[in-house]
Amino acid sequence: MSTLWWLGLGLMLLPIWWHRQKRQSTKAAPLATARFLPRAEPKQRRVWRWVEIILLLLRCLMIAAVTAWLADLVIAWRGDTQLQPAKENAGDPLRWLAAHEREFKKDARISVAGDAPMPAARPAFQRQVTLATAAAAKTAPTRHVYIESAQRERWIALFKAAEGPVTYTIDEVAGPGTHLVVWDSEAAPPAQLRAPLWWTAKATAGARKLEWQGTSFSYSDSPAGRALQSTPLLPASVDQARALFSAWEYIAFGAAPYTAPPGSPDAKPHAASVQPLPVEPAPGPLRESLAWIALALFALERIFAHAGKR
Amino acid sequence: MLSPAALLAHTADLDVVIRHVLAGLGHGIHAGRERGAGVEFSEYRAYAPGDEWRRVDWKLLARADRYFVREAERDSHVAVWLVLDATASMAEPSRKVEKLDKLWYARTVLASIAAIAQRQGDAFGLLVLQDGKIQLTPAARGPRQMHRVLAALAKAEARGSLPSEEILKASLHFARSPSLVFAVSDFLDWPSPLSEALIRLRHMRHDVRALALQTASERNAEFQENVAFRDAEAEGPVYRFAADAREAYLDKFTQHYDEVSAGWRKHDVAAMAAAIEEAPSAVLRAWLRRAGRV
Repeated sequence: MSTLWWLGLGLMLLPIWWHRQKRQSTKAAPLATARFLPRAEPKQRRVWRWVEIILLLLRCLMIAAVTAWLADLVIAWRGDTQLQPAKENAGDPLRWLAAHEREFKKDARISVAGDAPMPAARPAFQRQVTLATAAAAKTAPTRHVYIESAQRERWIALFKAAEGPVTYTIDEVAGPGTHLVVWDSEAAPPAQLRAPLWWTAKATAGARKLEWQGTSFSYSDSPAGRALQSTPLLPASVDQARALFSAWEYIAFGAAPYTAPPGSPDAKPHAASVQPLPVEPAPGPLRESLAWIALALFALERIFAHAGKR
Repeated sequence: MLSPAALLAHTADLDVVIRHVLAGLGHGIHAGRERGAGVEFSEYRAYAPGDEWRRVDWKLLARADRYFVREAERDSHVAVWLVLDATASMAEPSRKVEKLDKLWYARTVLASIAAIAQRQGDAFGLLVLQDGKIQLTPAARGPRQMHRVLAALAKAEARGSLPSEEILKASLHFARSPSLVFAVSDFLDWPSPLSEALIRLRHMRHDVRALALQTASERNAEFQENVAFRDAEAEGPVYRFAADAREAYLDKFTQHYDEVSAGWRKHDVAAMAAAIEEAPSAVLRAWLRRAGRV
């Protein structure tokens, strides 16, 4: 849509027309007894004062600068580039590339390396982009768990069985580093006990329902933390156990990014799954400069307009 | 020291201007026979702000608890008509005195005459010719009429051209009883609908007096050289002034006003010309004296 702003360049005809009109005016003062004077032939002045030429130029440049600012003019200056996850692109080079693709020259070759996260659909770019990605070696995160239950041994066995991508450490005492409190007990928990997530069997009033991987949960928030309830709390089957652990990971830690597979986004084996990333183009690097240039031109135009009034 | 005309030009209040102009004038417009006490009683009229207190009947006030003014019998019921040319050419400024133009001068002179008429107890009315139209203030007596006439004079702006002869003819239906007509214009158009109307009124036995206003620059051909000029009332050709055009201009100017004066004389209209840089009281005195009625 920003390209439509370039039609505003047609407004440059306005100052040109205005200056031509001014040339044609004849200034004559009223005089009651003018009829007794000899007639004068109006002279065609074809000489432009230098101030008028500068004014016309300034006004045209000002319109051009404002139009370029509105149209968010971007001059492609980037050539062949290799992108990697970094702080500058918030660890997501593909999303950054979608926002800044206008800055790359048409024939620029772009390579994305490193552990770049995969977007939801295969991205499509206007430039030639090659993915040379590779998943980085990751250490399994450790989750600290505190268990309050009469069936403590069964819970410990459950967590041991679930270890793999994540390591679980059973805390003897709940503390600030505890990620999960399993409260499988009739007694009320201590008032001062806090944790990001609780697994409890008792549903509280006003809890919201959640269907997750075929299992029904409810969850509620309190000053002690978010409580996830299910009945029975101790999973009775493997599917219930998987649902419980994946719900925990998703609620507390979010979906883990998957490394984009290497290859070229230009290949179209499944055309329906290829689409541009839904990313707004980033403001061009010239936008701020154009705003200042337009302001400076306006100031100069006013100065010369005032100087031209003699 | 600023000339009287310059002093008056810097005063926005017509009332103040009139008082100054009339201060040294001291005579009336026509031979009214009203002498104050001893004049034959005619009728009572309700008091209006501005009436003289000595004319209030105190006995009637005691009886009726309202203010009434004694009206004296008058020998003549002469109406005074003031005609102001407020066309675009009257905006011609004095190039010697700041803020002074023909219209301002004309307003001052006519307002002074209105004040004299009001003092004498005459009815007076006003016609303002402007933009092809006429604004009429019908004749009446008294201080309220003075306010109306002053307001109409103050509101007048110089624009447009004179109304057509038909419009002027239709507006002069007031001229049934003998009237005094004071017309102020620059009379640069000759003949014009205004001049024809005034001559027609003279033939109807009205006392018509015309004052042609000029500026000192117009009389002496003192204009800016190498500047383009155009006629104030019409979009037309452009004129120029230079030293070599001065003689020709003065010839044409003099010839024009000689023609105007000859026209007035032929139809027995009392007329004079004055420059707006002259003191208004002096011009007024000369104008009224020239009429030969006082």
